[in-house]
Amino acid sequence: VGAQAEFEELYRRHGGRVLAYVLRRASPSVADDVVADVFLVAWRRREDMPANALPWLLGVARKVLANRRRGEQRVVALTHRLASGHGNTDTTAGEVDERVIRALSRLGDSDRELLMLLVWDELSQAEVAEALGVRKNTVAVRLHRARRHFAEALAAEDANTPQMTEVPR
Amino acid sequence: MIDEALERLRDSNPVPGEVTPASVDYLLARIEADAPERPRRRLRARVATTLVPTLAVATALAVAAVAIVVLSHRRGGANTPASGPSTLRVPSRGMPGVLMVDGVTFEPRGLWTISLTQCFPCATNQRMRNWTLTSTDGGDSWSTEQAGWLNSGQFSNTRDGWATGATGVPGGRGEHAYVTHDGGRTWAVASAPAGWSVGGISVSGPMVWAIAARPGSGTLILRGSAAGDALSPVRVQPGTNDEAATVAAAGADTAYVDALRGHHVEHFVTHDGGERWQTLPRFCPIEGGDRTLTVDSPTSLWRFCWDGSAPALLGRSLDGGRTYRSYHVPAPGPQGAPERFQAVSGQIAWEMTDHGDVIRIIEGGARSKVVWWRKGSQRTAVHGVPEALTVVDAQLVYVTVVVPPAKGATGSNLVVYATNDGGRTWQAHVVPLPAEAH
Repeated sequence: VGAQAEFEELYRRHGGRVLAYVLRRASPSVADDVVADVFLVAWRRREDMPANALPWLLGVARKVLANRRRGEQRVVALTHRLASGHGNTDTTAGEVDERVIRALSRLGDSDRELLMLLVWDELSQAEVAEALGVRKNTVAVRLHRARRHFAEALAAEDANTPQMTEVPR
Repeated sequence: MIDEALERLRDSNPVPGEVTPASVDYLLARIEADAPERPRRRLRARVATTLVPTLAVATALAVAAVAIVVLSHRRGGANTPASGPSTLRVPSRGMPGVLMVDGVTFEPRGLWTISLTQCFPCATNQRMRNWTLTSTDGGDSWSTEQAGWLNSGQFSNTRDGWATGATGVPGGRGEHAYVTHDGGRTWAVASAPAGWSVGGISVSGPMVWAIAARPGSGTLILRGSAAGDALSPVRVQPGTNDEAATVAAAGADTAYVDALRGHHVEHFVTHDGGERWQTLPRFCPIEGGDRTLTVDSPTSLWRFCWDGSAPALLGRSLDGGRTYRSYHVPAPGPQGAPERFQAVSGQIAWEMTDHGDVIRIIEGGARSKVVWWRKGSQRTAVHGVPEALTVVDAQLVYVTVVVPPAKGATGSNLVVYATNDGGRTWQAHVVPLPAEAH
């Protein structure tokens, strides 16, 4: 009974964050299944789970998604979903800047995932390291590079996008 | 500049903060269905009051059942009649980790190929193995090779088949087209334009069509002889840059291509082997709702449209995609999403939901019947997770299922269910998993 109560508490505490993580990267149609898969692994591996479980759970979610998505163009799917308006669920999302999404899609997989974990999932660098299964120093080095790459990609997108000009009446 | 860029990234978060997940009861029910060692809120009390007195009898029956399974395996026959899911027994010593089916091919003479990924352990750094399991006798005996994965193979005849896949790291880039000319016993990388990843194939009659993509270069539509070893770009391309475009072949010279342009999916068709392309009207009224296209003749096709809420919309066209008759198709099961739709004729199609419900659609879409409802029905065929639906014809259908470990077992198992009477009865084939994976 104790283990189950702890498991339910784990889900109540982190289920929303895990679902949000999945929704940023996958179709809403599979999100609940992915979350269930993540917590199934969590149940099986509950004795291995660290005290700060969220990065560990997101790391599992990342692997579950990677397996579901084999062969898919991840960012294409994300861009498609955002463009089709399926990115928003039951929260009030900010307005999505398509140039930002396109710039994000220009990055390599590791740079993109790093930035998304840090900025969208709001993990600390130490938590990102845990979610990715790498050392904290590695994250710091990669982050420096990823930030620069993203800024360059976004600048390029801005330069390629015609500016809207307000016509005086 | 960098800080400003990150600020804009933060402002463009499509799902800021956290969202409300499904209820914990849904999760527990889902885990209940997937793995019997997870929490059992309601069963626990019953165990103490009703099962304990019969424990000795149950133990004896279990020992007998294990003995039967062991003996049947020693005879070389792992097949078990699927008179009901509760009669199926799988080895207690399965494959550890999480098993995922990448692709399956079932050739009617009994040449079967299953591509399998094993994630073990899943909770630490990514560590995966890929296995290719092959049977040449309809599932009675199997050979195993640790290799790259093959995805969704299709056969032109009893010899020639095509698949996509990649060697090496799962999810890695550089997908190839693979070809077999011995009914699936051996596969080789087919020739295709260098630097392009082949992401989808479609075999119809003597020809194979494929989609290849290269980042920054858009897509190429390829075509080749199913009996050959090479794919070449068709002379005229439909002009799509969608790297996730799909192709569905319908005879030697006809192929339909779906590609995203802006916010919409565009439909193209050629009836002369890629010399000319026509743009077809859209069927799905929902942006992003186009799911699946299957064709059963050059002018007969089915489209699936689904926006995340049941029921799905099924479109049936008999004039090559110019006009459609629409039907609503149920998606049974909690939040089940329709997917893996496959038509076998102008009248009959099969659908599997992402929760593993199997539905047979008849009368050109006008009627449908659930032949396999994973949970909540006496039709439930197996305790496990259906991973692949393979429809050979109106009667012959295969469902590949991963069976999670039962309590006390060490791993998952793999079962192929086959029906040759349109889903009325099912034959179960327990796939022996490689010993070195334990």
